[in-house]
Amino acid sequence: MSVHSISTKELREQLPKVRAGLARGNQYLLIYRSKAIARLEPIKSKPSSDVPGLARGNQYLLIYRSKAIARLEPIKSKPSSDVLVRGGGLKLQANAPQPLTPQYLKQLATRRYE
Amino acid sequence: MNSQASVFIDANTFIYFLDETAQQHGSTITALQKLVDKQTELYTSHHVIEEVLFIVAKLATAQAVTIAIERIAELPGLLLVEPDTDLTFARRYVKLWQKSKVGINDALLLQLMIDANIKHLFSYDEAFAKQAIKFGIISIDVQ
Repeated sequence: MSVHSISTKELREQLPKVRAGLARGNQYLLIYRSKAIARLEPIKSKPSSDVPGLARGNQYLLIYRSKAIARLEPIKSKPSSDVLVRGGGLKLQANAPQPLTPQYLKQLATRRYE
Repeated sequence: MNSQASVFIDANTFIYFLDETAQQHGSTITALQKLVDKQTELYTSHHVIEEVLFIVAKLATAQAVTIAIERIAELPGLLLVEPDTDLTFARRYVKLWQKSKVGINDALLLQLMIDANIKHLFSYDEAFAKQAIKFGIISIDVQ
């Protein structure tokens, strides 16, 4: 299972592709004006019957040929995270000619335009 | 740390996230973990990612650049905000640049945040954070 970002326009234009992805167990983050507004995931259990607005915190069901194929949930209802933030992996300061202050990092970044 | 629905992550934050030898590494990991635990939406852009990778390439090896992008990709729920595919976005951030004291690059990032309605910033760049406040974007408290 994987999560893909998809715009509302892409959802309209590529629904068969998205439907195939849902059938494979993929999930989608629905993006509108550069902001994630909903999560689209395959139905795994009997769906609920209410279909009010996402903005009010409720869910939509995506129907294809009279059958509910996915649940469209507001972003705020995503499951709680049990993932640890890892980071690390690099030893930049140890090899840098001077302290990596935010000011020095900004100076370094501007060099990509020189 | 106050509750934030969505936070934009700046390049320096990613550098300290990656750099185990940085003084700010521990506080950055702790702050990001708190945000993830609170299910805060974490945003950045390809523009920021390119800046991070350029800095890593300047200070380390090509292999380090690969490690950097893989570690960033592991950050839970990180989303990319990108501008419109026409020049209206550029017109907007040029206007923003003209009425602020930020550089063009920072104006671009501020415009991205404004367009995506992102109200919080995670950056160690105090000058940038100070300018962002003028546009209603508040820095998160790392403590």
